[in-house]
Amino acid sequence: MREMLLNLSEKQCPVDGLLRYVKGHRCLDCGKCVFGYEGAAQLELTLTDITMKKSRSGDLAQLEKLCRMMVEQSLCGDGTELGRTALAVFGQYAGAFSEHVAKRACQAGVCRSFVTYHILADRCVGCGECLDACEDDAILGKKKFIHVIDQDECTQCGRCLDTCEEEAIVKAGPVKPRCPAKPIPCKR
Amino acid sequence: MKKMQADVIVVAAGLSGLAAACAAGEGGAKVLAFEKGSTTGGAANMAMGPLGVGSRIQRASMVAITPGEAFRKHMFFTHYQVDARLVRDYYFKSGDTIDWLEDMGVEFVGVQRAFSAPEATRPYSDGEFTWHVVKPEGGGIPGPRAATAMVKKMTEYAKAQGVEFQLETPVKKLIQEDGAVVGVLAVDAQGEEIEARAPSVIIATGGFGDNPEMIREYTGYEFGKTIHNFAVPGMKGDGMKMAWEAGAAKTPVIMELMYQLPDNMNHFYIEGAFRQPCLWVNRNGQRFMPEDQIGNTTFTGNALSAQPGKIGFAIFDAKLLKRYKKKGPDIVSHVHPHDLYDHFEEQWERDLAAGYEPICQADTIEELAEKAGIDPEGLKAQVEEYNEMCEAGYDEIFEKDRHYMEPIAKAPFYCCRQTVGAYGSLGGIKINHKMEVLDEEAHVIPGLYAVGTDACSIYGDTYPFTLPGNTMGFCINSGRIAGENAAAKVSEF
Amino acid sequence: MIHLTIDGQAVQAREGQSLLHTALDAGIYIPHLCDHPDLEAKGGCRLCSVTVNGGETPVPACMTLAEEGMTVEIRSEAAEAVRRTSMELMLATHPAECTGCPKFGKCELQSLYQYMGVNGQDWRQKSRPVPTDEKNPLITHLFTRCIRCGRCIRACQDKRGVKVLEYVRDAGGVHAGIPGGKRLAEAGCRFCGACIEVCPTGSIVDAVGLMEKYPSYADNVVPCRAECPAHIDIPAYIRAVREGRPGDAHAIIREKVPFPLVLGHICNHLCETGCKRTSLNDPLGIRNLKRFAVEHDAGQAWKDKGFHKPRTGKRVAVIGSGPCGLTAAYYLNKLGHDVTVLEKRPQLGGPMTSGIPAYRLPLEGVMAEIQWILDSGVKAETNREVTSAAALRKEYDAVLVAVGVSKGRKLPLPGAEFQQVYTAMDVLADSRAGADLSYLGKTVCVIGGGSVGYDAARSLVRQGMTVHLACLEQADRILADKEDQEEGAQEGIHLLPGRSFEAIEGTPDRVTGLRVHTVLSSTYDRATGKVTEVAEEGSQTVIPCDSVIFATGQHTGLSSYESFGIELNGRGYPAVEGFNTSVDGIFAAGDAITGISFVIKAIQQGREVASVIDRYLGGDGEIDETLAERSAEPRIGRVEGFAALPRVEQELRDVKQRLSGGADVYRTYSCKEAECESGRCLQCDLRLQLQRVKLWNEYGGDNG
Repeated sequence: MREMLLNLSEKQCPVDGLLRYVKGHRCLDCGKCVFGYEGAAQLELTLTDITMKKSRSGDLAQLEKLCRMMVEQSLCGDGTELGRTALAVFGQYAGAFSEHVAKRACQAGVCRSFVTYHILADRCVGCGECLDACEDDAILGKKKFIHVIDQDECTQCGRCLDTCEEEAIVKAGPVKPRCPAKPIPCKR
Repeated sequence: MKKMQADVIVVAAGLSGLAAACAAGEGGAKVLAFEKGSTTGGAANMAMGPLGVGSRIQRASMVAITPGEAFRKHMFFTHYQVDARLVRDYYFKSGDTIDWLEDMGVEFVGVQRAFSAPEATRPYSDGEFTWHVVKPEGGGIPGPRAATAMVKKMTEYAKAQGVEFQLETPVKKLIQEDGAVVGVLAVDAQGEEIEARAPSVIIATGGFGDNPEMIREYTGYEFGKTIHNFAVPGMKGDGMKMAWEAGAAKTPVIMELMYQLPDNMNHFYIEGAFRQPCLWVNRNGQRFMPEDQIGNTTFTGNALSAQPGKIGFAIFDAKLLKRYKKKGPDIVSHVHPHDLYDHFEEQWERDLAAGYEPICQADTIEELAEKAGIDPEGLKAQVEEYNEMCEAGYDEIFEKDRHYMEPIAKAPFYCCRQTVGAYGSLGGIKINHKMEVLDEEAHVIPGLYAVGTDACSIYGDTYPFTLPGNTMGFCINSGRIAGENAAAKVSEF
Repeated sequence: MIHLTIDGQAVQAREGQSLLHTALDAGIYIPHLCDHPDLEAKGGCRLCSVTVNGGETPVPACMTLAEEGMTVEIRSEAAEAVRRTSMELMLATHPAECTGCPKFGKCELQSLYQYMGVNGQDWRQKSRPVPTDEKNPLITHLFTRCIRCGRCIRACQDKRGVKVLEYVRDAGGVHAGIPGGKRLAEAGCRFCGACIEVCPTGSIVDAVGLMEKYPSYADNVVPCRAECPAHIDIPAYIRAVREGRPGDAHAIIREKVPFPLVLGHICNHLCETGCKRTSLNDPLGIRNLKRFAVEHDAGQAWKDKGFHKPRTGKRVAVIGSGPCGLTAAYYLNKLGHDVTVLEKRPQLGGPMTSGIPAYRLPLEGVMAEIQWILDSGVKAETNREVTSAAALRKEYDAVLVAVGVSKGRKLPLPGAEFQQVYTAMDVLADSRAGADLSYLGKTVCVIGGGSVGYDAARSLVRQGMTVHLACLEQADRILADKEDQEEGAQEGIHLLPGRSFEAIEGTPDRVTGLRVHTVLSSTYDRATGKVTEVAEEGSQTVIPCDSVIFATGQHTGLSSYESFGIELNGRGYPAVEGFNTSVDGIFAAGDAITGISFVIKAIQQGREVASVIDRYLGGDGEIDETLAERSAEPRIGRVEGFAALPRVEQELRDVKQRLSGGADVYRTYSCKEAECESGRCLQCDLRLQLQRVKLWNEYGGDNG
């Protein structure tokens, strides 16, 4: 598992990978020492926030400090190992971590909160298929109007993506396509 | 029976008692402080900081309010129904007390106000920058419990002044001779009686928040039913009873209102999640206040208390929940973290399954009303009216901030019953501006002082949130003034 | 001794002592949470982090042994950082809401964050709610407040060997708890309370109201001992019984009372009303175990122990030889004074030998206990009626009036002066003395449904008489205890409850009956002593009988002596302040000042007045003594089905046997029964062996 964490492909996100590793870690089932249990809990909470686009500026430095103490002060090898692994992942993927925190982006496209969905105006035919697919009523528009995704309502579930035969719906990372703010009549 | 002798006896070492002990010790008196618990600071261990007006910190932060202005504001707020001289002496001492604490080594992060109200309502609901929030040791963000750092510094300072603490040793009775209070009877943890004598006794036992009978008798609330107040163990009204027994006059007692869920420790996220300016109604289904004010816990506590059954209901829909989850709460409190919606659903499901009584969920407004115990017709009509106003973007009834006008339309609907809470009781023992206890004829009972919430009857009917930090402010300043006066008596001898 | 330096201060450590306890013993405070002086250190919390010999990596002081020449730094930057971080991490998930916590003001965690001044707001906050559990008897669980220090688990697993508590994981995360969500009783809990005692937060606490009744902590923890008027060390003697040491048990009882066997038979056992096992099922049979211990003490080793102070030459007279008078005499003699007991009756013992019937209290037992008091040096004169305490005071340095309430009181009914009308006190004294009771006739009517009424009635049933027992109270309100009522009914007493008495029929020398009517309800006003009744119309009847016996109250009898020489109050009792009467050197105690009460109360009065008299005579009044060494094994282990163990009752002899012989009604426990019953004890006192952790503010001034 640890080996895998240090040999991630481009499609894999190290923040997400480490979070999954922490969530399945024995330290969360034990509770016998503060640095193992509460350390793992803070790792889980903070990494979750980072993947959810809710990081704070000092998060990475704080986690690094915490992990060094986990290595030093855990009661058994489990906590030490967790701290070491996390430090190794931080070190190896420093860029990806700081990107999540500072640039609010997930290069691998794994962390859903960093991805937005958009309907390209030049491809949309106003068929309304995606409207029906959206369970959150986040897609605005009607027949023959270019549909627009209300980003406040969108939960990034991705269901609309497959319903569009025109391939007008796209995922976007930090760079967003230009789209109309409100539905406008369809030109096609 | 053990015998002890001192110049000043302090009954309970909470914040008021500590301040009294520090000041009396500073004034050269030999001080004995009796405390029921094994720690000092009492309820202050949960708090964040006291009021001060005219402190060095305020001047440095360009907060211009003067003690005189604070006095006028306070008297305006209380309609001049309280002892102006006492209020005056308190505010004029309060700035210096902050400096005094700083000199003791207490650090403050700065000065704040309690709530920040929407711009349009600010003149009616906002507070002054009087709340001096204590800085945690080693920096960090202050939060609940921040004031413990101050308690520690005060305890150490008191010890350095020679104050002797008798922990786990509650005072049971005042000793009175020829009308004057000359000492106390206490019992230590081993059950041994102690007779301690001193020319001055300062009562500082913190009210009766943990005494359901007294709450009922003096304020009419039923603990655990119509009020869910902080019940700090040991706050049984001991000092009030002792003082009254010694002939002290009674003043009206109020509960220091706010609002709180029952067993809130185990339903923390639920409590925070509904403290939002969504739709608030009473048992008849009718709105009762502009919801943009619910961040003001004092106002909301008062408003809830005035509703039928002393309850209200906060309601939001699926769409609003989604917005809170995504954008965070509209109103952030000091107590509930802004990321609480991340954990909301997990707790909501668990609490629903466990049948946590204040909450319910339904797919129609009628069903929600049935489950919650709200009049279904009333709620239905109210929701229709409210939604229309949301559509129009304007609250014709209360002119609630339009930013919060979100309809209650998308199922499922979430509801949480809101109940009155309180930080504790306020008032009970009649005092003058020297903190001397007065009898029914307004004559001083020689040797007896009362300070802190036992004697805090300067608020009238409502906590003056406009000058925040006031509970701790009165505790620490009344304690300090009493301590100084009691010590001065020693040097007169 | 090992020599080392902590924060620049030279200190000494014992071999094998941790740095933490070395420092604490030297009065140097190091914050600590998961460590407890009575439990093995585990090092989980790291609040006690220190650096040693200039090292960079902090180590937990609780897990590090003191070594010769070590230099220890408590407040090095690295140690402080670890300590602060640990505390912040704990607080980040601990409920912020302390004000509803039962431990507020006495919480170790609160004291620690107060000392350290940190609050955890820099970390992600997370609530881990666990439903509060108030359904277990005696113990309330609020595991939302659990800090996972493991102290309760170590106490339960290692210290006690009961193995109920464990780390468990559920929706609320990991916390101490009972695996499988079992109730404490089914998990095998022995309710010793060690978990409560060591819990640093408000996570495991005594159930609401349990710790509020008595002024001291120890009394609240061990309520049986607190309830006993003489404060006999009950858990200790029950332990001795269980461990097969009845001699030690007897000695422990003897530390507080000179009449263990009497009490073993007839004590009203207030201790059992305090017994915490009542919350599980039924209280311990404490009184029965007392009787067992005394009857099985073969060695009587206590006789060679205890204090005997040098003779003072002071002389004390004790008027009355009931439990109070004899107890006072016993201790005053041990304190070195020459004591003479003056008894108006032919035999010593007061109600123990002339009131309480033999079927409840066998005579040999009482006499043996009285004999020991005489053997220890107390002088006694029987058939010696004292008519003036004041006169006696001239001969003695102190006088104790312990005359009890031996005079029966009659109701002012027409015919009450007839020859065939008696008081229960007279009849019981005759019965106890073995006198011929045929003067009462064949059918008697006893008035009064208290324990004295039953004593008289049951004594006379044993003489083959037909006995009616009539009282004002309705059947469900009868004053005598349930055993008396049930056993009396079995023995053939004819109970007439709810009756009001009109007159005694007959002539001055011959009673023919008691005229009564039925009352539907009655109320007694304590303040005025008046009874208001609702009579049933047309219910008047005459109960035919040969004699009538009043069991309607007693008094001292002193008011008939005009010359007794001390002030009496309106009720004919000596007027006292404390135990002092109006005359210097004359004291009064027992039923003579309290009114009719129980033997144990009278004994306690005797103890207290002995101290007072000793101090009056120049002594220190100290009468506490240890007659058996205590040893209590903290590891109590598991007992399957412990919570449900049923109370063992003494065997009640059948009615025929009871009515034929003079023997007591109950058989004493067998060894097996005593072992079973004593094995039900929760051993509440074990909790007090555990040390209390000292908080930072209890150390010297130089701590931070």
